[in-house]
Amino acid sequence: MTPRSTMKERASAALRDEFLRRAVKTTTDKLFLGRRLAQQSYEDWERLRDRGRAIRAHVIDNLDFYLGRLTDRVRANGGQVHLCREAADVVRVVTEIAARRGARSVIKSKSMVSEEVRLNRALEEIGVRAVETDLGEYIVQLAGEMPSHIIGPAIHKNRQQIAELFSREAGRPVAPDTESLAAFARRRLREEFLRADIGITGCNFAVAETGSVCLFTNEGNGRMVTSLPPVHIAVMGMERIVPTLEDLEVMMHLLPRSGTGQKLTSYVTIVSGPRREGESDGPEEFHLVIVDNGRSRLLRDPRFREALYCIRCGACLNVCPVYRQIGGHAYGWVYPGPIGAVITPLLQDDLDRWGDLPFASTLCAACSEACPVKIPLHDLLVRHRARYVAAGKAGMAERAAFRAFRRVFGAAKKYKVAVGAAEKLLRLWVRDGHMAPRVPGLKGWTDSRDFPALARRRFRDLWPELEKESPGQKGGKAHG
Amino acid sequence: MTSTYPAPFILSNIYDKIKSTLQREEWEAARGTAVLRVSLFVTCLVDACFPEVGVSAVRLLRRLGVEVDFPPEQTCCGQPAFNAGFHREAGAVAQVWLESFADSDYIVTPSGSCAGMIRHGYGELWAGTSPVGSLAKELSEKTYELSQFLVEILGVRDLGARFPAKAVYHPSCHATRLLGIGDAPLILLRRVRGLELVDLPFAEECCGFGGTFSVKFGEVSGAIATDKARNVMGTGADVLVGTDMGCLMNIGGRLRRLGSPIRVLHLAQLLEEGLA
Amino acid sequence: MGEPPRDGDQRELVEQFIANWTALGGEAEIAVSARAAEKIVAFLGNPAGRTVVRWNDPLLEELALDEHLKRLGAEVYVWKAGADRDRIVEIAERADLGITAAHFAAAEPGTVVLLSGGDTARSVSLLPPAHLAVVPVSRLVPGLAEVMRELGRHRLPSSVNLITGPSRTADIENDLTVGVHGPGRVGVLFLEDR
Repeated sequence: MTPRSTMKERASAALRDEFLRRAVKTTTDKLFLGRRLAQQSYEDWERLRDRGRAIRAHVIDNLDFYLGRLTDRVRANGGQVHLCREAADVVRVVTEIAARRGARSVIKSKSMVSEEVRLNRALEEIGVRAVETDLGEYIVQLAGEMPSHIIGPAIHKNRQQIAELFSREAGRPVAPDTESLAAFARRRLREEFLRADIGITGCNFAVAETGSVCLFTNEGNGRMVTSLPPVHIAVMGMERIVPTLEDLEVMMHLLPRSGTGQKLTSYVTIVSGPRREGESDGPEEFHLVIVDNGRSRLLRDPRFREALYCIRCGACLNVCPVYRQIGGHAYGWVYPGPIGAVITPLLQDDLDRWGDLPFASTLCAACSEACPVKIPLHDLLVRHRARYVAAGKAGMAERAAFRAFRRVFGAAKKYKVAVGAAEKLLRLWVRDGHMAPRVPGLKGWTDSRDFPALARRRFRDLWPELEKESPGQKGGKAHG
Repeated sequence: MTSTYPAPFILSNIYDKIKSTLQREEWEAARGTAVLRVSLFVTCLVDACFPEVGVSAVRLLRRLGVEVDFPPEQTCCGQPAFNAGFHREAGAVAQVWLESFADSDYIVTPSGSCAGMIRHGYGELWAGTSPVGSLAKELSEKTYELSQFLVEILGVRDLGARFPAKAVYHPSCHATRLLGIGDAPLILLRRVRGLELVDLPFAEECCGFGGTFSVKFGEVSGAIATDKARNVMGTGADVLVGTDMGCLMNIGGRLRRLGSPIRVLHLAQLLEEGLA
Repeated sequence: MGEPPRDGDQRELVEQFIANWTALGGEAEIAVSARAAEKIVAFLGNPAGRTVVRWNDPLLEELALDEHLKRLGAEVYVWKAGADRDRIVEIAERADLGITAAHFAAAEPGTVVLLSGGDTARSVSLLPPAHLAVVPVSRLVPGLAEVMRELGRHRLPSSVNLITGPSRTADIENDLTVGVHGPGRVGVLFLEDR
């Protein structure tokens, strides 16, 4: 990944990777079909979506209240709470805990927020080894890459590539079949689980009422990370709250069905503070790190606030025609697909670098349709584009084109003259009713598709004759 | 009551359908003026590139006894600029659209995407409380995509058309997702005699057009169009039919480049040709 | 747990649970308490030389399980409150089977619920390659709504685990594999006289 490349360049590179494209399509097809079946397994899916949306909207509208309540309840459970405004604050909090505990190794279960703040790198810098334990995350960590899908981080890697990574790690050949690969990971990571000084997890939902952190996992690594090391640090985006256990139940139906197409993940772990009297497994220390890192920018802006409703299921990726062609890395940062294109420019607060993401969409609205909490993602993408244009970031040629659009299409008379003139001019390039490739400005289209010629007579020119076609009709008399 | 309604094509049960679909006053008003009066919004794309689609739409509506006019000041709904983020420009053009159709009873357009822009996009452009916003809201509620108007308002299911061919239907994203026309085109197509409708794999996936996206991200757009074209070709159909010339121009452009002889037709064309 | 459901309803719930649980690759049996030990031995396979770790739960005590297993040559460890962490983790780590007594189970989507505590350690259902949860039929509820309601009645323990089938992953080329980190074999034994 080139750090300063454009979305378009990254997309082109991804299109040339045939394996990636096949893998992404197979996975997203499977997840798409799985989601559809799983939704059918719930009696009134639409009502459930509405309930989910209402819960998320209520929390986001009252976020300060629920953050306060969550903080109180976590402390009452014996946990410590750290509010972090920026990435650097998260790094400071975690590295201080690591230093105080004299930690040498950290095990992690999936946390997108920790990718946002590049926590692993920060830990490595103070000499602490951070090991990802979700199998997909472990694979991309060994490869030195970023996850390419919210719920399937390594879908872009094939067995052979994984076997090479594992063999290098093992110092001996590991066979490229799923069984051997999974068995290697199990053995290797089991050692890590047993000796780690700190466990770091993400947080699918925090329950304000009970001061709990809830994790949805399938492999069991989330349970390991919250059970074996003496310290558990949960890192959560500050919006990731539900008020009560009853609300959590709604999310238990929505999230797995939308994400993996399961009725429920193999494990749902609800952690409420450190281990209690008499327990000999579970952590002595529990820390909840609540991260802003740009989220309050979304919260303050009514145009984009709804993006905070997101429950990170990945359903919008699986249905996105663009994501399905290019996969996740082309989006350049932690969050890919439509939701990534919406939140990245705001979380990163950098229009020059990330402002092109919202343009990488056909606006087909499949994302909005798939979203379990009904975020109108396609509207948010358009609002982003308007924000980009209003900030003066659009190119000169495009600005000129839309100024002309306004002039020409702003009055029927001008339109008639302009389209008539354009048609005559373009006749030079017309072959067999279509434009020859290499018409100025149309290259992006004509590289792969024919473009029709403009009609010699417009509909409005045909109208006077057409209007006369059935004279009897006017005045309400029967005809035909 | 029947004497006030002119078209012989319309079956008597259509009245009930119309009654249930329209608001009561609207129904009274429609009955009072005797004939449904429709203003055609032809769209800039059909006007400039595919005028024959507009012609078919007009003929089709007239066969059903609808009176059609063509407000001459119309140009474009503003969607190209809107989707590209140029909202000032989109607003200026959309305002011309509002003025053109301010007196219309019904506005019918052979494009789900443009109807979607009016029904959905105008709400994004203007809050419903401003004067222009309330006009936009009022007009958007009278705006229908052609097949949606035929099925929902006229209550037509069987036009009596005959079209012997094997066809696939591409449901356009904006028609189904933004506008919510549902199965209206299929309801009409299923009753065309001689027409064998075959399922299109991944039918609900976008064709990759996306307005300026198709040029800005031409490679990605082309790749999506390729998948769609291959899925169409894989069905062995001889006709591809849809409700939006934007999508059809895109899929058709790819089909043509791949050397496919599949005929690409707007729903209005297929139905009108089937009635000739 | 509120109004006790009628027997017929409860039997239906058991069937529903078993259908869901086995569809996920889990194993399930129904037995009266007196026959439970046999069923557990059957789940374990040949007990000779095998290691079993279990919760310190009165329900499991009553099944006279330890005697049965030891007679057949298995080693049985009971994880009790206040146990030395390193030693007991090391035992659980090399155990062939962990046995728990679920606090609740939900017929839909086929879930057992375990609450952590000194005598009900998390590792027992996690570290061994196989886990068996003993579930009195009376603890089976229709769905997650009832589970959440039950959980809401008291202060939550430090860790609640809802387990729905074996540990699994599809991270390698979408190929479903069971038993990645948690147990690949999971069983539920319903006690129909409780």
